[in-house]
Amino acid sequence: MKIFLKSALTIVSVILLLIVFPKMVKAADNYRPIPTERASLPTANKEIIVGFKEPPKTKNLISLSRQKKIVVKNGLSSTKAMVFSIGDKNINETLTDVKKDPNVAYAYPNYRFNLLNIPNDPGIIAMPTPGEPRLQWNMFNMKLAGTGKSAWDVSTGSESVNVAVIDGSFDSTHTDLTGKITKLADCAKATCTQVLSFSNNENNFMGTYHGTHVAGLVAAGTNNSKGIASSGYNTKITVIRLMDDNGDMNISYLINAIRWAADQGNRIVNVSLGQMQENLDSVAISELNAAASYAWGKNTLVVAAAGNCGNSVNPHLPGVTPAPDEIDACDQVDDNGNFVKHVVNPIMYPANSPNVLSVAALKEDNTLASYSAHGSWVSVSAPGGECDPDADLYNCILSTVPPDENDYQYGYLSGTSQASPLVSGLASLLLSVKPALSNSQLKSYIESTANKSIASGSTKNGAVDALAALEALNGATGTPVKTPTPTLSPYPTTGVAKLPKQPPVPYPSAPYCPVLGNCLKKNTGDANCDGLINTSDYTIWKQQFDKMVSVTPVNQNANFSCVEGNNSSYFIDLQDFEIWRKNKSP
Amino acid sequence: MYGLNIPKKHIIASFFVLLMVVVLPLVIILVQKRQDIRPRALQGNANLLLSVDKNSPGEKEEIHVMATVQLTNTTLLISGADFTILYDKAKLEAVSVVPAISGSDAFTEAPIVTKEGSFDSTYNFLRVAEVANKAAGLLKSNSAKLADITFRTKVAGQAVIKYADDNNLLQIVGTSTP
Repeated sequence: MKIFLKSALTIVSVILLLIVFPKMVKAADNYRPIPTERASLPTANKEIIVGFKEPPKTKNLISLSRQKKIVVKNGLSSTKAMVFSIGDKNINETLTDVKKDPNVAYAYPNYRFNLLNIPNDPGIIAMPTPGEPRLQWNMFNMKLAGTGKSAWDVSTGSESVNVAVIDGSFDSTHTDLTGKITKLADCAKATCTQVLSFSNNENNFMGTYHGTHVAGLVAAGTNNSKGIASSGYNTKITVIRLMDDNGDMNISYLINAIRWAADQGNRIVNVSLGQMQENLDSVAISELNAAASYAWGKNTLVVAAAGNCGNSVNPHLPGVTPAPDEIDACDQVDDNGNFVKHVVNPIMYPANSPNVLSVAALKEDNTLASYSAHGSWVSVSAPGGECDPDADLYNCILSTVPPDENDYQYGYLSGTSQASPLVSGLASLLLSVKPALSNSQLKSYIESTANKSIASGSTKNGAVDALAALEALNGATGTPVKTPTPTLSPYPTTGVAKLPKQPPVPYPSAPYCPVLGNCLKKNTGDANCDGLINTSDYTIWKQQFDKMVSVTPVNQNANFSCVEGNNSSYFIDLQDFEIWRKNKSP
Repeated sequence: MYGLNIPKKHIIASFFVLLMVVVLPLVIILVQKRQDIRPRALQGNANLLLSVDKNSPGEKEEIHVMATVQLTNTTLLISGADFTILYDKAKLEAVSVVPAISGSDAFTEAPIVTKEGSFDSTYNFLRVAEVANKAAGLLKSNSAKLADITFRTKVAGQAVIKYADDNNLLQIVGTSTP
């Protein structure tokens, strides 16, 4: 009987333990999938942070988990608080319930934060004067910057992406362009030649002012606590001078410059200048088109200002022939330069050349600028500003300019010339994320994500939305335009290599690193230690790929296959990617 | 008491089973150390191949080279490739490198694509690293295209295009059939 009782007791104990222990183990099991559904809570996810009166003991955590049906996830460094996952429970009710526990001091939702990459350039961070826009409102309107998620949160560009800026001339010594210019070329003569710097002179002062302004919008030093931020952020530029010492910019210079820029491997070329169709004969247009097509064939995207002749108001008095110095860029002239007529909203070149991404200008209030070219031949619009210099200068576009006698190095301009480089900078951000994008894919991402409801009907595709373009790119598993595949012969030729050292393995053969601090899923792909294995971790992996990283800070490294004590294992490679891929949330 | 008389050795066995059930999770919780007990994928070799569309291109002519990988084990699935190709710098110029990341290709993204790095006095190198951000069921097996590469000949004469001799410059990763 005694043996029977013991046996019965043992069996009951085993049954009880089999029931109870899985729950206890489950509560502490950090491999348990965590619900990823977050849509019901705009400011907090399905997690709460619970602060304890004393450093919590395991038995208290298990007790709280079981009583409240919540799952402990991790601790908060140097605090008595722990993060709990609440599953499908109501967050307010759970918080109220948890606060009743005698060991709990406080509890609150694990609020989610947006990435807020606001560069520290004064043009971005300076608070606007009441009633006036921000200094660089254009970056906010285009969603490059923002108080919520913005394009610069997705990409800050790459120094390996180069944009060619073809313009009048440049102040290559501007302090906010330091280190951003990779090459300088002078195309204001028979051929393009590389030079070391550009000197200013009276005849091309306006060209220098314009070119420096445009260059700054693409690539001024950003997050350098100086002046302005540029749309391309870390992007670099090749500057190509087109204005000769007489102050002229000839079509031959432009044709040479576009071809030279493409030959130099620039994937993006910005052309903030143009001429209207009425002032070009068909041969000249076909030559310009051929240059644009040549660049396109080199996988280069040309971005061009659509022109500033959209205003229907004729500046000349009716019936009076304007004097030579009154003729402007919107007037048709004969071969001798004599006034023929004023033209409203003409088609411009090279903006209208094949495959060129043409850009119209928007005002600060996101309406079409009165001067801007418009119509279905114009591809997209972007901020170009419009202001009265004496009244509301801040509504124009701020950028770098050659220093004047007072050493002012920043100034305002407006026009499609300013809208175009903002789009070129965006194109460079896209390329930094996916360098393999073809020029047609690049163009397609910018056009297809543009907002048609802004300045509706004024362009073919709408206002450029930098964030939407980058998010579309990041979310795309395929590509909008298929790359042609060459016909290949069936036989292999040179080069057969075997891979004895790195066969396909899903896990490292070496032992896993011990758990690092509270980052319990580090070894399975949780680069940022937020308890989830998702695209945020993949982004960190991509940033660190092919680099050595330190194990600290723990929450910013993608070294999932690390081997403790082996420094050489801190190299981020494809094994780390495979660990992330294998374990990521579906 | 018929049928309830449990033999002593059964009780001892039950005790040990109980001990295992109790102690193992406790050890895991206390030591906070985990042993990966998931089945590992098979290991195998991968052959990297190059094929060209022209045997004897003329001067200043473009030739297209396709890089592919063949997995020697049919249960393997490829999820990432990082490879370096060397080419005769005096004879060839790399015009374009298009990684296999579009449409139905094996990969979805190429974090590294370079085409004209200097390797040594004879060779330039190009490098592609690409990954397949896909579920295991969508990964490619057997063989997969890695990249389409276009070269332009500079001068007449024989030229070499090859994978780097050092296997440290190659890495292929993947998993086994789910």
